Amino acid sequence: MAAGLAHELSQPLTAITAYARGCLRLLRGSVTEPALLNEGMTEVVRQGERASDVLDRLREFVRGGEFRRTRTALEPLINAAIGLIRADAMRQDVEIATRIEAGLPAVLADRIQIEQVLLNLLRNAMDAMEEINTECRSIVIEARRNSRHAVEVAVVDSGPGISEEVAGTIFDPFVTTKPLGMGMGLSISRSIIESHGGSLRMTRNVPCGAIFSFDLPTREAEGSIDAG
Amino acid sequence: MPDKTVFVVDDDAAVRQGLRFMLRAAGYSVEAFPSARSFLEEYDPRPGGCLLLDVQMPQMSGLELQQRINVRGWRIPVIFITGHGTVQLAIAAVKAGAFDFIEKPLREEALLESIERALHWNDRAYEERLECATFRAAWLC
Repeated sequence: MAAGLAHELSQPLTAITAYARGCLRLLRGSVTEPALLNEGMTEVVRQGERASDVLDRLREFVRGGEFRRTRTALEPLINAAIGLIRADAMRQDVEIATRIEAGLPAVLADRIQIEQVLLNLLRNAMDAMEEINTECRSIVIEARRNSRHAVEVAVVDSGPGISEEVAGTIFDPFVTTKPLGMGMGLSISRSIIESHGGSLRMTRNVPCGAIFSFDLPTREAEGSIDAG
Repeated sequence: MPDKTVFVVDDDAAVRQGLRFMLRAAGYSVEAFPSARSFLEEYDPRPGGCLLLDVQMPQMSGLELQQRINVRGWRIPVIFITGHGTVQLAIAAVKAGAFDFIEKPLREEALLESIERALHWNDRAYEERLECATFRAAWLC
C-alpha cells in the first residue's frame, strides 16, 4: 500500500486509539464523567467512519476485484480502456491515439485493475485539457519494451501540464486540482502499480502537457514469450 | 515552578484533539495547536513542559518548526510523531536535538513514557539553570 494511503488510514486510527485510551482511563478512575466519556466515544465512532470512508473509496475504485495477476496482452487492454472512454472523448473533442511497439510481450497483471489505472489517467488527461483550445487536445498511449522483463506504458497529453506547486504532492491522497475531485485516483493508481511491482511516474511533455508512465513486469519465463 | 504542560502541534484535527483527550485523561494539562505557525505565534516560553510535534504538516513541517525553536533558544524538549518515519528523518530530527521520535499509530505506554522522561529532563535542566544563576558560577556552567 502506498505510503500516502497508509497515512490516510493511520490518522483516524491514531485518533481512535487516543480517544479510546482516554475513555478507558476515565472508566478506571474513581470519578466517571459521563459527558467526557460521551465526547470520547462519539469521536471514536466518527473516526471509525472516517477510516471506513477511505476504504470505501478504495474499494469503489478497484471495483472490489480480487488481485488476480494473469498473463495479459496489453494492446487489447489499452483498446478496451479507450473504448470505455471514447464517448466522453468525442464529446470533449479529444483525440486518442496509440503507439504500441510491435511484438510486445504479455505482462503479468490484473487486467481490471490496470484498466482502472488507464481509465483514471485518461480521465485526468481529458480533464486537464478542458481549458485548452479544442484543436490541440490529444492523448497518446504508448507502450514499449522498457527492459528485458518490463513493459512501459505512458499516457501522454497535450494539456497545460502539472504546475510546480502540485507536482510534489500529486500522488498523495486527497490532493486534487479538480473542483469536484476526491483526490484518490492517482494515489490508488500508484498503489495498484506498486502492487504489480512497478512504479507510476509523472514527467513533463515537451512542449506542453504531462506524461504519466508506469511499468509492468513481463511474465517470468525461461523461454521467450510472444504477445497473446 | 516548571509546569507539566504537554504542547501538541498536529494539522489533523482528529489526531490533535484525540491526543489532547487522552493526555488530559492521563492527568496532563494540554495545549494544542493546528499548525507550526500558530505555535510560534502563541507559545509563551516558560520553564517546563514538552512538545509533541507532527513531522508531516503543510506549509511549515515539524522539522522546520524545530529549527525555529532552536534559533529562538526555546528550551522545550521535542518529541516527534510521524505516520511514516524514515531512518533519514529520525537522524535529521535527532541531530537537530529532538528528544524522541515516535511512530503513528502511537502506543500509549511508549508515548507516556517518553513524555514523562521529557518533562523530567526539562525540570532537571531548569533546576540546573536555576542553580547556576544562584551561584553565579557562570564559568562552571
